[in-house]
Amino acid sequence: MPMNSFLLPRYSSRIRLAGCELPCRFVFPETASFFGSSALPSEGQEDGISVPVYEWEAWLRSGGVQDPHAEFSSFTACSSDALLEYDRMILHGVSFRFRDRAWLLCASSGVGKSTQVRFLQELYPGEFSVICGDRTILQLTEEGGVMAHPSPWNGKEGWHGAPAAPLAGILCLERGEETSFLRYTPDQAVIPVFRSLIATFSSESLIRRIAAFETQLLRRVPVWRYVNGGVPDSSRLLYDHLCRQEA
Amino acid sequence: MQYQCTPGVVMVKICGTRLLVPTHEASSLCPNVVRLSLPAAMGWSVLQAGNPVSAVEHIFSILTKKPEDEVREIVGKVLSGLVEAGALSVREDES
Repeated sequence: MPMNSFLLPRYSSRIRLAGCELPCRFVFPETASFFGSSALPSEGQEDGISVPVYEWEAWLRSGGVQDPHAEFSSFTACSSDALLEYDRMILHGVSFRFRDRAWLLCASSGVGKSTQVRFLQELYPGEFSVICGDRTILQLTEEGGVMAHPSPWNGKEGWHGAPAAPLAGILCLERGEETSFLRYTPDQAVIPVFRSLIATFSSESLIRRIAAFETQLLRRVPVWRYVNGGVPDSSRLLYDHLCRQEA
Repeated sequence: MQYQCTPGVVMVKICGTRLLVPTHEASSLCPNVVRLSLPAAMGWSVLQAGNPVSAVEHIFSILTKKPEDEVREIVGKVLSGLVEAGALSVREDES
């Protein structure tokens, strides 16, 4: 298929993310169904956020197919851009509730976020519930805190269900020989957290707004480097760590 | 030798850390976010404002109080890191 023969968005819709209603335009009318209860009736608007052309180009170049599910998955970055207007942003990370507060576990794909959460749920039944399984929405609140919200993007496992909660901290997960927790200074946390931020990075002004968001985020919540030396022991140590923070 | 900042690469400061972040368009030349030391941030800012490398050397000379050839070496090292990251490109002087 020639690069410029992809379809253009022409179906207007609206989605609700973390309390914000965003007008959208989809290539496929079926895309809205992937958003589940986040999808709202269209108001027939002409404009709205849509997957950037270059994202489709990259997707098609990598052998992907332009279909509703691809559109749904690719909608994260442009949604995150739009949410910045409302002091919200989407991060790549699993968020879970523990004792009425949220924790965000960030790492690249394949490092073991889901494994950690699975072991926590198995070792401590009933104590953990997942807010969002893959791409969590964080909100800078007017009260000076951060809320972790569910999103429609819940990853392979489809974990979700727990309501939004105040964010107690961020854990940047790495694999290593021995399990450890190191509280980052805000300066040390900049790059690990930045890597988890989802956005199109389409303009210089957008990048400045992203930087302002992360600055506020790091001022408001603590960040730890969590080295996972191997489950299930690391999950038990994680539980102990979380309990200490709640004390 | 003169340096040119890659268009679409932005310097931001987050909690005291200075980063160079490429826009999507610039990412083909500068694929990664670059953490800047204070000297590199200074050098970048001076070049970004359209000044020649001699202006960077002048500032470093004032700050370090080192001889000219040492300053040139320091500046060269700092800027070559940014060239390697794709945030700067080099062009030979026309003169």
